[in-house]
Amino acid sequence: MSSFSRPVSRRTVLASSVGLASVLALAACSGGSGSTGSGGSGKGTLTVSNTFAPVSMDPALSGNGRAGTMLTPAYEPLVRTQADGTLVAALAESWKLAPDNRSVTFTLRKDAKFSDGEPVNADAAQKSIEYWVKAKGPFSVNLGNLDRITVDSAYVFTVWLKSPNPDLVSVFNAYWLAGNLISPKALADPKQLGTKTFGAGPYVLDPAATVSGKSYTYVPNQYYYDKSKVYWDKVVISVYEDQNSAIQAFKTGQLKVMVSDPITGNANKNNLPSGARILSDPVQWTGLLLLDRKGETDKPLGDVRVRQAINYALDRSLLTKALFGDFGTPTSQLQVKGFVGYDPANDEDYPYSIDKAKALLAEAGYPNGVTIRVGYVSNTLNATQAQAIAGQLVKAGIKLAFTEAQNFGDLNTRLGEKQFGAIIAQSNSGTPFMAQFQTLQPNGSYNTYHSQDPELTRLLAAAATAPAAQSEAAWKAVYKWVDDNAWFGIISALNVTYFIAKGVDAPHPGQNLVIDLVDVKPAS
Amino acid sequence: MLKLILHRLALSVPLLFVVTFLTFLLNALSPGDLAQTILQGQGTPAQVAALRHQIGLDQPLIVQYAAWAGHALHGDLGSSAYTGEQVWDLVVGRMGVTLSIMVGVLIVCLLAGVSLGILSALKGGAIGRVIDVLSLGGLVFPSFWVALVFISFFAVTLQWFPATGYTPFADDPGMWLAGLVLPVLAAGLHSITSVAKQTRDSMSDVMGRDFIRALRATGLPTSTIVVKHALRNASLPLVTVLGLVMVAAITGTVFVEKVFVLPGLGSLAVDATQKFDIYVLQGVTLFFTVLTILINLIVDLSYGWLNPKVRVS
Repeated sequence: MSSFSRPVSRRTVLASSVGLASVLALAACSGGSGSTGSGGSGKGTLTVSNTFAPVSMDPALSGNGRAGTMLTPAYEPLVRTQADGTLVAALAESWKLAPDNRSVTFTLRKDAKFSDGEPVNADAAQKSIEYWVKAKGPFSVNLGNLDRITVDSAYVFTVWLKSPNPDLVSVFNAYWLAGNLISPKALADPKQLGTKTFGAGPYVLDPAATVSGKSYTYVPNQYYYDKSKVYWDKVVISVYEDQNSAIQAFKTGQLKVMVSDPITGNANKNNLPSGARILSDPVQWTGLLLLDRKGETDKPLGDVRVRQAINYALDRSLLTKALFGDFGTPTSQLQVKGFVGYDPANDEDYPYSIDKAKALLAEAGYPNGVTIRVGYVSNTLNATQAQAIAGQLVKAGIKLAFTEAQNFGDLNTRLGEKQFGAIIAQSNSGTPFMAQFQTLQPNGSYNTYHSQDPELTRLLAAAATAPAAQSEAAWKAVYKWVDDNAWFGIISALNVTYFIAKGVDAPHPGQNLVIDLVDVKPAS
Repeated sequence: MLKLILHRLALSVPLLFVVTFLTFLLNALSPGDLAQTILQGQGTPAQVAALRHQIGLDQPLIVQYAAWAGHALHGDLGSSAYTGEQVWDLVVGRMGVTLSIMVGVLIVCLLAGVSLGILSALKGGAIGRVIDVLSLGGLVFPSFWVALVFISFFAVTLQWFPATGYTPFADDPGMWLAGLVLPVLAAGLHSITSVAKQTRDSMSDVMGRDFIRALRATGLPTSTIVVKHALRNASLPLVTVLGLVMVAAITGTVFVEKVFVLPGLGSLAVDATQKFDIYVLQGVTLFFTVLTILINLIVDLSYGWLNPKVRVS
């Protein structure tokens, strides 16, 4: 067979090879740098990766934090939170919180306009905030005690509450979204807010160049009040669910800012492209949430001594170093270092001691140990923690029986059915009054067994009404109580982690929790 | 022929209902639901219940499905529960990416798979064994791992292609092609080896038949014998494999679109599933089902074109 086939096979292979080579050559010649081209004015394109997409582009329905990243270029908030926690002017040039923490009066700047050309004034602010509350989005609970909004003059309005909130002004920052004002014209048809933006930010979403859930493209807002802060011709935020893909795209220069996580940061800290750097600050807690504090379904958890035993059996230093390296800090507190309410003394409450843990279990009537049912949402961060925590607790006779949920909806369903008494989860610290809704209030999403205690209620009420000068002490008292009663088994403060490419300036996230993309600019 | 096509399409209609109902059912049976996902775990039980009522999740499943099917039969596939975008627009907007990958896989399989198969059949020996090894490799290494290796080598080290992302053809044809090379190769690697093996086996069989010897005796050039006679006779099983390759490519795009961050239907399906965005999921399911039916129809029709005996029967 081979005697007559040789010439033909060569030609066939040659033709195919030439075809393939042509495709590869054409592709290679077209460059591999991705969407980093610059626009007409030469400012270039800011390319950003985020780990997930917002559920909606409507500020009333979108998530906060990193989910809200897609809103920051287009929606200017009333105030901005700096890395050190201070509030600075944005659409509001000044504000005054009432001494009883029940109202705040904002004075708007007079030169701001929405991206559709409508003026930003007190009427518009009133309509936008009222819509935000009425839409009943995931964070509307932060203004659930809203009494009314009054328009005091063309550019002055007051938000009145039925009960005090010492962090009321923060509700209107870029993180919590209530201050992301929406044009009144657009509010006539709120459906369009899901895919278009009508904010007063430096950019406006380009729907034609946007693929919902995947890639969001923004162009400058011609009405933005401070043109000097429009640093880019275009901003493109893409969703990279897989951090391996994102890190490769970052290395090739496709991404200028990469939203990442502590595990990826720790794995790549010594292998960054030239001039690139990682910005990272502790803003998040992670660990066990010992939810069944009345022992309804996981009886041992109803005994504070068992919960304390769990805390004594956790070697936080070892766990943190092994799991997160330089991107985590051992802690047992919900408010991590740097945030109001953090008390270094609380971190000394549960020094690692297997003997102490065993003694407490025996005292509680469990000399042979206990088994606790624990659930978590399936992802790398939770799965690795679960194995590490279980490995440590078993030394004290505390066995963990895990249930892996596919997503938060799945976890909540199982929690509703009381399938487990504890979960492994993480969340942000933040301003303590806002943070308490999730973890300490009876109906909080991380308080699914509705735990409450008269002493804690008293401490929370005192902190909510405390004057600014006494606020820190009042919140420390709250978290001291939480720590003493071992409501949680927190192991680490986690660093929010960003990869920043050479040639780009970006601020530290700090207490802003996320990097505000409006402050990301070409290196000076 | 037209009657045959219409008959086959008519038989496919019940299949569309079965597949979309199963999708509806599986979505409903999955833990969690749309209301909880919209509220992102922040809602109180009362808020969740109110939202469930508002979006009709408290209705019996069959009522929900009937409502969707009724609208779908009138050309209304509904809209995303999150963004309000029309499902039809979403599917059409993302179809180009997925079809680009699928057609790319088909072209690469035809060019590389068939060429390697013919070469192996004609030369045998070492090349045949190399193809066997490659085939094993294609089976052993999962697509997403291959994709990451390709990105690391071709995008990061050599910088030949973009690591991730998609550029529409209308924006920049060169970048469009560049962005597709690695996804297509990652999605098609396994298929190339399958096609090569099938081509080799079929060609080896055909090349040993009497009519080939007769053709050689007439003095026809070998190239004519191989391309015009042997390949055509060997292509019936090959067409079946190519049909399967195309159907498998639908699944492959789900992984490849995720790794390469491509805004296609595969990633849309994954997002919709995770977010319980049922109308979007139904729209994508409907599209993929119709596509699978069409691929199978084309495969059947090509049998008739390649083999007159099948056409007559």
